Amino acid sequence: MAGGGGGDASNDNPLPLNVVPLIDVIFCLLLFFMCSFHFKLLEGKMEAWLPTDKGEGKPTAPPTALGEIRIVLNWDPAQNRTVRKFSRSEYPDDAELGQKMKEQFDAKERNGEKDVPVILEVTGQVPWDDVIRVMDIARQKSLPKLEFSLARSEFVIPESGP
Amino acid sequence: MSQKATTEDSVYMNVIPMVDIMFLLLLFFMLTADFGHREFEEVDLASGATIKEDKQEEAKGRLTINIFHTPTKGPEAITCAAFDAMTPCRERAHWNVAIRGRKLGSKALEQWALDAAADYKRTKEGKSEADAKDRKVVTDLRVMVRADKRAPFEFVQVVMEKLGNAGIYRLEYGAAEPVPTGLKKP
Repeated sequence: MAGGGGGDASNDNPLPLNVVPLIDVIFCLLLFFMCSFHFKLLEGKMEAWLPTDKGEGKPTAPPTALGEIRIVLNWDPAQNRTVRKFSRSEYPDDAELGQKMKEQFDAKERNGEKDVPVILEVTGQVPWDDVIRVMDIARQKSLPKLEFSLARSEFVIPESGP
Repeated sequence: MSQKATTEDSVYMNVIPMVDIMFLLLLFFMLTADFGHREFEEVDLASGATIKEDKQEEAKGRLTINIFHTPTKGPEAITCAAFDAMTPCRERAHWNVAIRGRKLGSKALEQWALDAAADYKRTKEGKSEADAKDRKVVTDLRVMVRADKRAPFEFVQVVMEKLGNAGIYRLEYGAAEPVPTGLKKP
């Protein structure tokens, strides 16, 4: 050892590191991170582009009910839930709705219809979660084209502050 | 006397393992803490099994619109029993549309969309001033709509309408990966 052996700890290290402030700082940092901690949510995205050939100022093709798969989502205040209708029938079950959508999509493709879109017609009070769920079902069934049927909204978001 | 001093000196606390562990803990919390803040607002996103990974490089040049409920906790909290009970809140005044922390109404949102589209067309797509201002000329500008899962669709609809009218059609909707059943809150 530096002191020629047999010396105590202070003799071994002539410049002892004072770790107390270091520990203090680390404790503070640790406390801060522990208090402000929440796990990163794994966020992703779903894409559903708006049509570029429809809407204001664009020539509108007549609606072709046969060439689409239309899901209607309505909010039922009495039952406090979203009612999902497809081909006039209600489908509360995700798997059943997905299966029916896929069946109709395949049938349309067999009839030679191309690019059959899934059109979501949603009323204003439906929670966004229910809309995403139907989009998710369509994606799970590999239905490629998702569109929203948007009537001109009368709802105006009030301006907040100056 | 001399014997006692030697015994006291030889008993000391070895702080090195403790410092090691504290460093590791610190590193863990620093790395896993979410500093992103996703353009300021905390949004409880809907989850989907088929969501696409949102890569960092894809977020470049993209704008984000958040649709969120006014917090029910914290300094500017409001009372909303429905929201706290994790059910859809029907009170329109409780919902906000914001971009980078700035709350916008329908009119301001429309103007923002027009300005953002015109700016993108001018600077990134090299379009003429006339085309930049023409709302019928579409732009490849991408906008991410991050809506709270309990938000009424009418808010998302207004956002879609304003973006569509400004020629912005490439919309992405923020969604979260499904939480494993064991980690779900009761």
